[in-house]
Amino acid sequence: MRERILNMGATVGSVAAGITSTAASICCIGPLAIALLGVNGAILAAGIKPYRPYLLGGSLLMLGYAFWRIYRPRASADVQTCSVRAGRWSRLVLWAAAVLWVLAVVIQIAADRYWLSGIG
Amino acid sequence: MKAIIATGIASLLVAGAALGPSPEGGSFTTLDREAQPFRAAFNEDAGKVRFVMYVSPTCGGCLRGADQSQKHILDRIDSDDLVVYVVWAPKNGAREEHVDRVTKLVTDRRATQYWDEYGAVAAPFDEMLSLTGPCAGTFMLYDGEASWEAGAPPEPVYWEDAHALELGRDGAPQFDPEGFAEKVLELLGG
Repeated sequence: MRERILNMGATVGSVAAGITSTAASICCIGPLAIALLGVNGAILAAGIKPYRPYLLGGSLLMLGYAFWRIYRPRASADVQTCSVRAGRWSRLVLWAAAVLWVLAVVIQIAADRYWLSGIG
Repeated sequence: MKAIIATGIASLLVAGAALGPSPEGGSFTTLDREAQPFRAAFNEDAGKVRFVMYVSPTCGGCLRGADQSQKHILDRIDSDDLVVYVVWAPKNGAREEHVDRVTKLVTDRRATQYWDEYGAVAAPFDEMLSLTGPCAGTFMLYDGEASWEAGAPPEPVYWEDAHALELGRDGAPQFDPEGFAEKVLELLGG
């Protein structure tokens, strides 16, 4: 049970951090930001924008931890532990979180280079 | 497990909607190529402290600044010697259709909101304040003596920039609504 809770916590944490990082990255990219986040979401995202490096770093750590929890080598039978296999959904959500994290980084770089540096 | 994950994701997505501004809204007036009727209103309000928000309706930092201005400046300072103009600028990909819902961020009775359709205000402000990047996001104060005679608006006596840090603009300090409120009080004479 504890094993399941840890796997779930790491996965959900990774997803939350991935979504937050992505939202912070797109908060100022023109009408897209308002379309995706709404007015209130864009305001919230702008508020957390200064913390993007910490969010990305923290979410990377959580992702690493979640991957380790889910894909680490199983304990062998001779130590008589009951290994709990991570479910398909956990793995799916974890990979989605990883994709979100990469997306957040790509958006961040693209926005800084091509959007926010432009002359308005 | 699935339900908990789905609940977590859904909670994040609706968080913005839950923490929203008041549903009461403002209306707005579209400016012409001569920046009217903003220019006329600005001059008619001579003698009062004038607070101009130059913001884009599609920029999170601008929207946050407008929201904070309502909550931390206008809700706090009730003086009738203060008037407020919110100029929504066609910057950061903004069009008129984006303006309606963001006018709800500033609900103060002293505020008048405009859409700068032709950039009649945006262009001179950008040049005067040396604004780089796609966003507006400046919050400006004028004392009672300022008058808008020439084509471009007059220079503010004080201003702050919501994107100073993010875009590396060094013309003014980063917008801080608490500190800005102190400046307003200072201009109001206490």
